[in-house]
Amino acid sequence: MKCTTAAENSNPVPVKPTNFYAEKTQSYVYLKTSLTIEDENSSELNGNQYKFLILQAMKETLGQVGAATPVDLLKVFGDGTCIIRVPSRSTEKIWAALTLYGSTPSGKRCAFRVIHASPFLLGLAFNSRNHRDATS
Amino acid sequence: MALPIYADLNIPYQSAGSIQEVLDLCVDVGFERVAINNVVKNLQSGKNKKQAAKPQILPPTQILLNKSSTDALKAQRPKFQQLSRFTTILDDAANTHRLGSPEVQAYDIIAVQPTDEKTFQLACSTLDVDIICLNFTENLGFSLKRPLIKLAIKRGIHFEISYSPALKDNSVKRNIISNALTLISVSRGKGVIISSAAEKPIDVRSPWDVMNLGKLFGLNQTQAKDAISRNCRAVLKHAEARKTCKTVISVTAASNLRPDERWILQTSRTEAISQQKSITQDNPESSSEEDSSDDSEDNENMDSENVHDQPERKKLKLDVS
Repeated sequence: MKCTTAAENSNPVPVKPTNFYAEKTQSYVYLKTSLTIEDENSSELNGNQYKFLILQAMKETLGQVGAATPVDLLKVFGDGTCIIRVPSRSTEKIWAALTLYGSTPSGKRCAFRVIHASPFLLGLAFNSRNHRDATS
Repeated sequence: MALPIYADLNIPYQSAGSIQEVLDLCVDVGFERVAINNVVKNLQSGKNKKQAAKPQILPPTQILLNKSSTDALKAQRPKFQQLSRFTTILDDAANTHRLGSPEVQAYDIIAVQPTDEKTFQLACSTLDVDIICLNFTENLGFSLKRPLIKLAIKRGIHFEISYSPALKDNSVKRNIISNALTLISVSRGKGVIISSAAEKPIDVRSPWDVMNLGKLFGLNQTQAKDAISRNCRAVLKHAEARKTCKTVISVTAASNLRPDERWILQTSRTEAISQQKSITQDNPESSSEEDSSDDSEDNENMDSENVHDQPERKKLKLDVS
């Protein structure tokens, strides 16, 4: 991570916008995911159940080899959302596996929806998807 | 740069209550353009014409949501737009002439689902439709050939992939992924749209999920985004062009103008007023008081919703057969 500022000299008057850019691709991607289960209150889910369902989703679409990718559950929020960390190389596949997961082992319909994906954990603090056109 | 408008062009028609639930969630997750799909399996009656009557086709106004519920959705997303879509299954190449009938043409989008090679060829090369959707849930039974697909894309027809059947069954999921991969490798990622076909709210995924799914199907980032935004817009433009033939100018009734197109009326009126004023200046005998009072009334009406209720405004309508 590198930060280019206007100048580190003494006169502070002209403030140019700062650009942040990653010098290399990050090794992990953080996904903020919500899980909805039909006829069930998803706020009651605990971490173990969440992890189990994520693994089930990966097994179903990607098979045993795909499910061997390390996925870390960092935080479970009360409203049925959580933050998971996946290796950036396999983000696309794991995300698709979550998207295509339709029903829990007990036969209830469920839906993983990725609310936000970012290579930086701090990036999850603000969601640019809620931006609207100024004209509308 | 304007934000893309994400579209889901396949929400199967059900009762108004359940479709309302689906649309609520669609709007909630980020879709702004939604087409309600009326699937009529058999467009033509069977060979025993005495036994089976022609299937009834509902007019699009019946399948669309009423104004009060769309207004609620518009409050959430101001650009929200609902469209009507008609889909039929082609199982006989001879059963296509009813596609041109006025009750089918009343729909915004027309789609066909070919079932074998013959009908697929017909749909790609001659039929006047906007979308070709294939039954990806099982083995297609014929191969998708590059020249035909190229021809269809050249004619502005798009191919549809629906993902929601994949959520229910594992073998169906496998079939959908493999068929989608084939289609995208043959079409090289062009002319593809991805839609949900969601019957329940739980089947709806957010536009970004769908984009990622498109990447799994073999599209790149841009193509995946186009599959739910730009290509869907192209479908609508194609549908519009189908109704007006080849054209550079089309004439519509003033009542059909969208709110963001009202400026056309405004400018044409101001021009007319300035012309009128120059005429009245030339002829001082004509009463100028009437004109001014009319103008103020008109301007008030312009701001309100019912522009088309004004008797003075000349309505133009062009019937293109």
